[in-house]
Amino acid sequence: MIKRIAILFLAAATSWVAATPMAAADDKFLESMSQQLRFREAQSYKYKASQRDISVGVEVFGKKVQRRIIGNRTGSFVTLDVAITNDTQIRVHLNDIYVTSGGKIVRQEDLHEVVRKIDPGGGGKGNLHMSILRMNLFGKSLQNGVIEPGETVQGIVFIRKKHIGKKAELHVRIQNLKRLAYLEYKIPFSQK
Amino acid sequence: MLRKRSLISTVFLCLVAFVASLVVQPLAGPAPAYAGEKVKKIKVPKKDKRPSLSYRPNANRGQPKYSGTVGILTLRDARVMKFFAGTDDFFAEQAPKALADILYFELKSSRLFRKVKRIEVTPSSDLSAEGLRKLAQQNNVDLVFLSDLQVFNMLREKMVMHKNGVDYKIMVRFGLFGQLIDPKNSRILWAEQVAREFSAVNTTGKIKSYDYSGNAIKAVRAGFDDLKKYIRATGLEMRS
Repeated sequence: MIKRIAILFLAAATSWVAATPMAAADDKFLESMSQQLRFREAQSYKYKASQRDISVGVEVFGKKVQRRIIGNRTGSFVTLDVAITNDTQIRVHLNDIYVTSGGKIVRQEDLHEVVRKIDPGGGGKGNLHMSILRMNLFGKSLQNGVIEPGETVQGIVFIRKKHIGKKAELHVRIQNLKRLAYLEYKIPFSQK
Repeated sequence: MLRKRSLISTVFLCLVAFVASLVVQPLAGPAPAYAGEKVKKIKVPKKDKRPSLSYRPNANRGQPKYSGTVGILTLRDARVMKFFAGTDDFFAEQAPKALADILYFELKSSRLFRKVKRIEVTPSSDLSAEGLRKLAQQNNVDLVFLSDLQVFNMLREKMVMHKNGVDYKIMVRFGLFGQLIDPKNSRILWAEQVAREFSAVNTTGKIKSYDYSGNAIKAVRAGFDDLKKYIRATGLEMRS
């Protein structure tokens, strides 16, 4: 009788494991939807520059954070966490953002290139991952736009790794929205 | 005989345990959302099947807010993502060009300005006050309208994440930043960004042009309607 109960228990446990699909909670793309960049003001970044009460901060984040934020790592892109804090009393506009390295100007590529390199796979699973990844990249990337007084905008800038060296400079152009004038920021940074 | 009976009863018990685990298993947690899903790869429509982005803007019979002539510079493409899958070929026209045309038609029909003139120059992101003044002089305009296309894309979102099957929300987003500048003193009379999104549920597993074209036009039209309303309501006026 005891032997039978033991067999029944063992069979139930084995069947449970066999029948349970990979839990959705273990899906790194699904998990990444609830993950955000840690919100900080530009002054608290490792590499930063400030002029006329507007600060720009940049940090390079590695594979571990890439996996947490966007669901998978990408070795083809340098991922920059960039923040701009507007401590003035006027509205400004983030007009342009690019990186220079070895005298070359490198701009962010279309986010589809990042999706392509991460390659979440095919089939139904890949399709779901693709939609999550596109939403994630779009929502978490830094985009041109108005920065209100007191506001900090923060986002990821993807730069193709092969186009820049270990040391590079982030260039940010901010436009005054009262009069046509710009502030230029140059922030040297190095990859990890 | 006894051993045979024992073997049969063990197999029977295993079978009962397996069936019981299948019944109880869903209680352990949600199934993956992609289970049983068959979604076709979203392809660019053939050239002759691509929908057009153009539409006829609504006319306005109001009095012009600005008595001068406005010069509309070509829309700058400041997007981080093209319409879908790295391309704008989902429409008959190239999206930035089509939206630049719509911007001109919308501002012309808005009657915000006495006269609207198109200036076929794409401004750089560091267009100087002096450069703008010269541009205005060359084209004989009193005001200049600068604009950036911030967003024009299609995204998909699973409606019920832990439900089997194909139930995607297809979202088309449109966002534009515009500024109206007086080139004489480089003062910005109006600057604002507008953004609109329209979506539709898709449960067929494949996306056809009619799944996004209607919402794309709705989003663009609503975005420009907002832009015109904002200029009329909040645009600063010059004192002579």
